[in-house]
Amino acid sequence: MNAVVLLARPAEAAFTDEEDALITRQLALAYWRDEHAGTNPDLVRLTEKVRLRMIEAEAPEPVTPESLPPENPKP
Amino acid sequence: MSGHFPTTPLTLLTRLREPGEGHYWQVSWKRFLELYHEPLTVTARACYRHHTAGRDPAGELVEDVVATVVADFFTKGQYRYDATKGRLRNYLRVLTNARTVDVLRKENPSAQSLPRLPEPVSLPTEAEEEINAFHGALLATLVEDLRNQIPLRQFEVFERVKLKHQTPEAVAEDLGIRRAAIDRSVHKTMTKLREIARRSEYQEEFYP
Repeated sequence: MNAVVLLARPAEAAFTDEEDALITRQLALAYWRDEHAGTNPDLVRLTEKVRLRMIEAEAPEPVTPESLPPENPKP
Repeated sequence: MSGHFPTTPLTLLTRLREPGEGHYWQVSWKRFLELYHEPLTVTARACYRHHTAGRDPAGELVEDVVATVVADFFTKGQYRYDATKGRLRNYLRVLTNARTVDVLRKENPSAQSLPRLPEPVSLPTEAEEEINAFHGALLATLVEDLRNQIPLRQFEVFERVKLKHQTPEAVAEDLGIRRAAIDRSVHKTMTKLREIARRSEYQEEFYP
């Protein structure tokens, strides 16, 4: 059983003590992982990699002689 | 971009899933990475093992795959997610699998076991570890949505009692309110949390 399924029960259905404990445990685990994400050195490094790839993806294509239109023929 | 913002408050997950021009920018890529880097990492590892008969990938290779998936997801039009065609979770798995295969091809261009593009590559069966990682990311998203939809003080009470496990008595004393008010606040917040969790975008993401 997992917390999302339990939380989605109809509002009038109360939780047992075990269910309440399971929800609290899973929510707290997700919360703490998220809270510590900002100081995780692996994530800091990964963020830099994403940033660089996004800059590369959004940079204009380099101008090469092949990409230039041919000169107009002289009259 | 402002013209693309929804007129009604939407949850974080809805904003990611909301089809339409420019919707990806309604959620910061950094926040998305914080919330979803773990399931993407677990999935990239599983895909690598699937295509290499069980070899473990180098950490740097997994990082490269995850970084490319997130950058593509937020910058490239062809990788836009269409919520009408399936779950975000499945879409991210397909994208991660494809980028893992790209890396494998670069690593070993003569890898004959991998199908040639554009033939689709096989997706490994979703492992328990992946399901748990996505589940954790979904719960963190749920907490984020809750934080954005209730008053700050109400979230603080919930956070201290349910997420940081401080005693209701200590929180009541610290905030200068009655113990009964703490219980009422936590109950009200749990009701709101359940309301958000019942929304279709959460249920559709979770159920297989």
